[in-house]
Amino acid sequence: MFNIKKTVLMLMAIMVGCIALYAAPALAHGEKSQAAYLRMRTLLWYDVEVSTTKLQVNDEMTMTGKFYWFYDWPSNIAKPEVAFLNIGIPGPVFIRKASYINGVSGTNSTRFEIGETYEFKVILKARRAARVHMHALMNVKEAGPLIGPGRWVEVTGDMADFTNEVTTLTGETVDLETYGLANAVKWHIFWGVIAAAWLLYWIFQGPILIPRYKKVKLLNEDADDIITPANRMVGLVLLIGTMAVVTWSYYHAHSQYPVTIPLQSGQITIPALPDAARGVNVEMVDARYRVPGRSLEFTIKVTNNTNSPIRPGEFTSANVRWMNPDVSKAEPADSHDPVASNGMTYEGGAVMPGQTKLLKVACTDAAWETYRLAKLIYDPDSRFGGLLFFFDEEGNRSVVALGGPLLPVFI
Amino acid sequence: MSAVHTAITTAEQQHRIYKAFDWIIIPIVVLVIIGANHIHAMLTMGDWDFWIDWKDRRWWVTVTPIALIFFPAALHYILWNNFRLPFGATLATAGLLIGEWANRIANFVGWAYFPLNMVVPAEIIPMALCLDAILLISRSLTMTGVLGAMLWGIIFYPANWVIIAPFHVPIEYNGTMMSLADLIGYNYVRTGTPEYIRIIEEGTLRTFGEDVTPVSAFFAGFISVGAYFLWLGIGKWFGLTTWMKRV
Repeated sequence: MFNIKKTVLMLMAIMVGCIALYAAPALAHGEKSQAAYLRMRTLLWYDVEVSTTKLQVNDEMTMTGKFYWFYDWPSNIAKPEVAFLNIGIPGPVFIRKASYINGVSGTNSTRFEIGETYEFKVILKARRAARVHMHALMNVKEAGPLIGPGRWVEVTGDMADFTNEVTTLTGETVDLETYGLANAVKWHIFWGVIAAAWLLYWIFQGPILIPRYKKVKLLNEDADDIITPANRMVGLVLLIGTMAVVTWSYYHAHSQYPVTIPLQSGQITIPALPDAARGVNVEMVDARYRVPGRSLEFTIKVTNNTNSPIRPGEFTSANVRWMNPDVSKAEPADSHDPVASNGMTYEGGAVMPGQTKLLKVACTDAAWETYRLAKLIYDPDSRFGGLLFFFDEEGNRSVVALGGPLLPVFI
Repeated sequence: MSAVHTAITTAEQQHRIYKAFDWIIIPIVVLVIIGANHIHAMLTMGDWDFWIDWKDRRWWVTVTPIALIFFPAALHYILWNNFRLPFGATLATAGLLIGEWANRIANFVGWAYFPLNMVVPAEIIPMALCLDAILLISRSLTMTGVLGAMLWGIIFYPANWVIIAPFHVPIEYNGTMMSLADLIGYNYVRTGTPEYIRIIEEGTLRTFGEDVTPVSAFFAGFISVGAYFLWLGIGKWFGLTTWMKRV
């Protein structure tokens, strides 16, 4: 016979079992889930490299690269008035030993200029064994995290071997892994014992709920008589004792640590790098996204004010790279590095020094779909953006930001 | 004809029943307080209490006592008015600390691998002991609200200085002066908690120069007085037995 209780319990058990079996560890940071226009027209990262991808606990690694604050910043996204260069990792697998933006220490938050380029360097020290997808990351106040390219990094070894020793300005060398912990625990235990004694003093005065409730209701306005002079004396001792310990501990801490400073919160402004375009100007003429072919096709008017012929070798946007192998080569650094090694083609030949000409560029790859960039055409603000890299014959690079409205081609 | 029959026939039996009632109700109440007060604390002062580099001398000193006096005040009303028991504040804060330590050890250290010294909760028991003691001595919720709640706000920073002082020792790091607390916050990467998100003192209170802490502590005490009375009212509302009568 159908038993609704049993059926519900069984369904719940099946559901819990399925969830438990299906739940897989989170291996990424949702980088594909951000809206395409957000990834293409905010912060454009390039030249991101890590010094190593396999290291032991206590080994150091360096992440370097550049980022460009896109000139056509979406109006609904807060501008980088306050931003912090960060690293996207699941918890402190590494500690951040140092970070620099254009050579300036990045310990504080920073203001950035739209339309400018900066370079960064982050030095990390491995803390615990893990295999993680590590990202460069920029937190922008009121805009959230703007995520950069990721790399799979594997740390081996034992976290117990990790130390983080520093020397203070008062000359003391301490390990930040455990510094101050024993003292904090000691004080929490001390006050915890006093609190427990106080609670037990009352609880062990016999049954306290029903008899006291009845007495309070019976005595009505004289209910305070339940409190005995001995109780009040205990209260007085508790008050004086607590105040004495607090006062003593305060002055004791002052004598132990006579030199202390408040938390530091200043912000800095860092000058941008020189213009990476190096005399190459680009105007967007027309851009279309060919849905069946998964291809961005744009026509640009290029003016070459350098002394050498130039050709486009790479287009990058939203951490995806489309390469023109005739001009510039790159391969994926790992399984999750979106590089379309043959993704870019163009028509129009080299642009000679002093010449202005039209180039027709096509960036084609399944990454438009797999990285959810094709969804741009369904966004309320369906304009795209990216960086186009030109190279001269000696390999000198000009980096030009371009963008504009994007028209879909469905047939 | 009706008659009330009872299984309790002796005073000894009655005593046993009362004790059993205590042993059933008190653990349940403690667990409820741990859970409810912990949720309340995380929602109102969360990051200030989570991280060592949020424990500043202005905002942390102001926000924490104000946010944490709610449950002690409500419990004071319920426990004092109905039972003349003066341990509501200690019960609330000790319960909160049990929840916080469990959370820090299991979640922050066990799951996310932050060092425990980075996430030690604030010490709040001394404030609660004073609040309870003043209630016991004065036998007056009004006096407790005025004197005790003011003291509650004022002694928060001195009671915690012994724990946080070591973290305010200065260090030179990559050409910048930082406190050790700042450095811990910088070293141990928090992807979702960038440096700027800290709501901490910036540029002192200007007119008061460097005397930020006493001003903040008195302000916290002052607001705590108001909050105490507000939450006495909420405690009164929570202590209503309207529904119990129906049951």
